[in-house]
Amino acid sequence: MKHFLIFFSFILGVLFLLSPASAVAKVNVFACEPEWAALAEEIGGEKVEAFSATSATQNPHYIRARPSLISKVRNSDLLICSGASLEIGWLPILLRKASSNMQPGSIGYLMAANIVPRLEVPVEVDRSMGDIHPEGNPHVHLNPYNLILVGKSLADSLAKIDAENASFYKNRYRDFSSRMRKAISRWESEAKSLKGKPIIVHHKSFSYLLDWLGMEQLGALEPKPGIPPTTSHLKNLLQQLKNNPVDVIIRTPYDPDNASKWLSEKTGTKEIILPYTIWGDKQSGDLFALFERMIALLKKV
Amino acid sequence: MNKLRFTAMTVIFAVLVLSGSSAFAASDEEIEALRNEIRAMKSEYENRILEMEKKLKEMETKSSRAETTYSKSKDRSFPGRAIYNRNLNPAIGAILGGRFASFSSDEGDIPGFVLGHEGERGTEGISLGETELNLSTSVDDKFYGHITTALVDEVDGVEIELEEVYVETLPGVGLPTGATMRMGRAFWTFGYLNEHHAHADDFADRPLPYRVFLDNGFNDTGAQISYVLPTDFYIEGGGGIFRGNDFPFAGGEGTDINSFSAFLRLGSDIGQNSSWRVGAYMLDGEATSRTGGHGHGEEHAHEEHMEEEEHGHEGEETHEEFFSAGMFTGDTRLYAVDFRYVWAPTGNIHEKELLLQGEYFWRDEKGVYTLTEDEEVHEENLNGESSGWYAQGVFKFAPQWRIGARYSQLYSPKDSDIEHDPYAVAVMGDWSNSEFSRLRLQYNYEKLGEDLSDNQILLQYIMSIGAHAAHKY
Repeated sequence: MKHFLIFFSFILGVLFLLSPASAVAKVNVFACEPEWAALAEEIGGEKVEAFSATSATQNPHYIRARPSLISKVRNSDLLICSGASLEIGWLPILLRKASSNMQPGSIGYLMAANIVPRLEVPVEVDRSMGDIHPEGNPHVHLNPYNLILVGKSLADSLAKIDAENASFYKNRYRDFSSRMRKAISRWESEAKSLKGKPIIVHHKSFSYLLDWLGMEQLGALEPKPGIPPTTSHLKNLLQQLKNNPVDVIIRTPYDPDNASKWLSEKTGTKEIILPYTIWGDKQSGDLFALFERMIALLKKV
Repeated sequence: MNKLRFTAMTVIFAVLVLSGSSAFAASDEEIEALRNEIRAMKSEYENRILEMEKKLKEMETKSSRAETTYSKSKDRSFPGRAIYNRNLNPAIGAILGGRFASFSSDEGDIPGFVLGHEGERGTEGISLGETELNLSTSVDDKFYGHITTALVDEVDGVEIELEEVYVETLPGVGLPTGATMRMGRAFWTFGYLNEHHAHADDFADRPLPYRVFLDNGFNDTGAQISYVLPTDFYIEGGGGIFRGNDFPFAGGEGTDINSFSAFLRLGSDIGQNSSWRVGAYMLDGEATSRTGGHGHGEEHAHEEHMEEEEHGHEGEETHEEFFSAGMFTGDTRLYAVDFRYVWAPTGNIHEKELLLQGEYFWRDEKGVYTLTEDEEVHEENLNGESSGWYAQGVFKFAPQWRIGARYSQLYSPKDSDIEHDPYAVAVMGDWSNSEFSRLRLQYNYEKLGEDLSDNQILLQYIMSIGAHAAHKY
């Protein structure tokens, strides 16, 4: 009996040794895209464990509600996504298995597009216009001001979910925001020369970046959002470019290259891949490096 | 005893104090460091920040203004064009389908199996097929509701089928995270295809085992619960109880729970490029006077009866006839295993994708088969153990183009004395302009009986208008 009690108290002790670990357990963040996982790491530091459902090589509009994602979301505490229907094809399936604190309207449910001003909000919506999003363009992270706005909401949510570390998140947000502001002012002066420069995109993934930098988006290789480039559309673009040349044709790492290569060959216009999100290329390992790199690439043209 | 308790308490207390204080110490230091940093930056960039603050403020007000103008534009409600589930109205969607079919054989029966209404070979020539109407939305913070009705254009008029009418618990209901309960009528979790609507299939028709074992899909009335385990590795288990009135069951009057199911699924990723899922399923219940479909018992029995007369059989029935045209009463249990594997370069399924999928079914069925001929009733106690499987591969080689091949195989019931095991081969190619439209051409070769071979050409369109629910894995 005595041995049993000693053993029992030993087990209890071990359990209590283990339990503080759960008290400082990290907040599990399920990010739909790598940029939001990166933002969560900026704001949450070592107190969060951020997971991204997609990578820079995957079109976030088209992934499958894979079994691994169901498990990930089920074991997460906070969801952060672009929103504006970007994840409409797979996120609803995952959300059914997520905790009640991650449902729309809850503290653990953050949609960036609901926080920032949206571009290209259509006045009229019809599917004949292609796969346009009634809420507007969802690729909001490419304006760094938006990162500050979303970062603030994220810090608020983290502070509520992990109340013990509320001041930690608030301070990290303040730090992030001041570093971002510093960087923005540098980028803005660096990118002055880009203002007004005409550009062609593969898909309207860069509208926020171009809007921020004051560049001019003269067209897209896709005839309509989500519809792959067609020969007739490319021929029209070719004609257009002959009359009004552009500086560069840009696309994301996940867009196919054939259309931009074709147009580039025919017109002599340079075509480049902008990293678009974290690890879109080797140099873009965090949010700061991402903008640094995109501006450098655009300036090189 | 007291001493022991005291020691334990001390240990616990010490541990708590230690862990707590270390955490506080770390965060204090950090906060101080951060504060200093921020102070330094602030003084350095104060002007700049003020300017930016203004810009941010502007954006923030702009953002709230954007919301209001947006919601206003929403209110203008373009008829029939509410796209996604954004307001209090349910998401409304419809699937429009149509096809042309040409068969070389006059007969579409599968010797050794009684086909239900849905599992029969489709109509030849030009037909509408099924037109699906979907309504779905959250009921409140705890429940979600969904309706799918199919309008089936038949020779003798339009038939309305309630394919799915269910409510499902939302995570707010208070069940443990990862648990969901669904009640009503639905395409229940059994194998891979059963959960999916036919419009989402990769082929124009369902494979042989689905046609004979499930009458294309099991959507009995009942309830099902499922639970995703809190593990990193995907494990989901669950089960259901049903009225027992849909193929392979029949005669469930609702007075009792006549059938139940159980399932287990596992899945994961392999690197960035591929993912997989496997599952094991069981469906168990009773059938009373089963001929096929949703309780059309007698009507079909009559048809079969007529057919038998036409064939002009006399005297002794062979076992084959019992299995091909008889009415079944007894216990039926169906086991299934399925797998699905998805591969795409860098995981970007929009450009290229390979889908491999297969299911194996085993039916354990023992009971009485009844044949009625010239008012004479013949009964026989038979072992209807049978099995079947299919495997398919679909390759998307360009964003809008896919090709696929499928092989299905059946093994005739044990006591049926049928030498031939039915099999079918299908190849297809389809083109999708967008996520919402698809055109498909399919060729089938079916060898269902010793002298029964059928060459089929199917041309099909599937279009989705309005809201379109996200697709499952």
